Amino acid sequence: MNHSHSTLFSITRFQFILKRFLLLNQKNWVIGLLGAIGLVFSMWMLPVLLIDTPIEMLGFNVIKGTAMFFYLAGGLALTSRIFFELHSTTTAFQFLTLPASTLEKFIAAWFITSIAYTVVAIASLFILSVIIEMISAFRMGTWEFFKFFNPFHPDQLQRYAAYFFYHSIFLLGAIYFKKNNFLKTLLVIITFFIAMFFIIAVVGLILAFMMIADNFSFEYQLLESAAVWQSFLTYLIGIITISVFLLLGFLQLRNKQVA
Amino acid sequence: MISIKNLTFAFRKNQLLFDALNLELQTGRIYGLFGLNGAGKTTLLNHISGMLFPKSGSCDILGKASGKRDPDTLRELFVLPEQFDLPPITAKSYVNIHAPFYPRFDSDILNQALNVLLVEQDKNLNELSYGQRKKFLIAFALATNARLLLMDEPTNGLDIPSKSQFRKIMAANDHTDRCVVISTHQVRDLEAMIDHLTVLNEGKIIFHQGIDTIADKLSFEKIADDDNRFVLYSEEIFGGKAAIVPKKPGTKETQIDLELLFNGIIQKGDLINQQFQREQI
Repeated sequence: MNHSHSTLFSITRFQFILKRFLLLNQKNWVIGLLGAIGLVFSMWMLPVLLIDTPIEMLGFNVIKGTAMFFYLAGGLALTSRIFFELHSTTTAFQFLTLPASTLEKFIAAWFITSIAYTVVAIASLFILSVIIEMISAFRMGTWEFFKFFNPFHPDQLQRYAAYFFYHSIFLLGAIYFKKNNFLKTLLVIITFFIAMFFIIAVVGLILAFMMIADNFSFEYQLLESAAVWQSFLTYLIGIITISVFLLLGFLQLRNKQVA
Repeated sequence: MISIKNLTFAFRKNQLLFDALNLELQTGRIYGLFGLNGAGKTTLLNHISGMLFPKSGSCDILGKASGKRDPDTLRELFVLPEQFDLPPITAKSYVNIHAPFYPRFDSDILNQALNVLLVEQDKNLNELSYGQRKKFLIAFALATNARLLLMDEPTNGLDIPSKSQFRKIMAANDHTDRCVVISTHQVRDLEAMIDHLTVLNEGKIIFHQGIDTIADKLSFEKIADDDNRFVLYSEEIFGGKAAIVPKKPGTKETQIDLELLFNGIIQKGDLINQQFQREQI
């Protein structure tokens, strides 16, 4: 058997771990994927079955938002469960003593729940869009509204970026929390945003008070400059945040102890 | 193979389970790790396997800290826990995804062990009984050809024929380049198998001797109540006492009664250990 002797990272072992993740989870993942696609398709079918449905209601665009919600929620739920073995004394030994480095195990989990999942989910949605658009076309007797789902549309790329952002947080939650990883991580995120909302509100009120009290006003140039940098800063902060959460997740996995 | 130096560990603050524990385990031996409930046998195995990290001190396998979970070390280690769950896949699938991690995995050993232990191979592993699951994992453990096998209560849950088959399979396998650590309360199940006895009590190794040395130093005899010989430890049995007495040089070796010895070590450990220290001095 071909084995790399690299201690930190070996492509061969990485592939073995990917195969292990797939085989251990394939049943649940296939059921989840088919269930989600079936649900999205059913939601599209309902108005189609109605006699008075307007023509513009029959395309894939109608359910694209719902489909993308399923992509996001399904992926995060899957991510929350990826380290399920770690949280029970009766299963943890198999994962922790598996002859592979922590880095290989972590990257394999990240890869399968982010890149591999996105490729499979989006490919499935593309196929679904083709089916839906073809049904629409046959039903209307015209190819005028024949529009497939474009996975590379700029709006879509932003959705993938959003998924990768939240994914890094849920991956940490998958290691950190012992039970109900999805709900607990979601709760932490909601709590964080509520806290941020209050902080921003308080800061906003203080600034407003200062403006009234001291006749303070923002310079137009300052606001314009901020707008230019906004997009860049958003991505920069996003990438830094993802990196920090991934690092925290790796360290959490490396230091995980089970008795 | 295993080197534990000044290992200190506590699950809770101010409640040390191990306080400066030292232990050296060598290749080519089968160690019986005995101890009372709560003595820390499973915790010790968890340290050796890298599932737990020492609070201070070190625990090394093949020269590397077990807590590093280095793949080169892990491929030489297989753990058979007392309680475990297996995934909802068939034995064949389990082997397909786990065997590639072990470079010397031997399918012939696996198939032979599965057949001898009568393991059902057509069902998913999670549908098997506890005993069947344990037998499967024993077979897999042996087939990995890992140099370090840690077995926590391997005969728990096995029926009587399976215990016998387990002993036969262990005896049939070559352990010359392997270190096996068997933690158990089932002393009688394994007494013919182990060649080294290690007793853990109150977080310390209180006895650590080879079976040959024990046989050379101690004599296990049934004595009458009025026997005046110096007795290290004895227990009342039907028609007299089962006793551990110092073995006189030149006398015939007796069959080691591990259960009696264990009880003796727990209750009169110092006295029994003195028998082994005398020659060293």
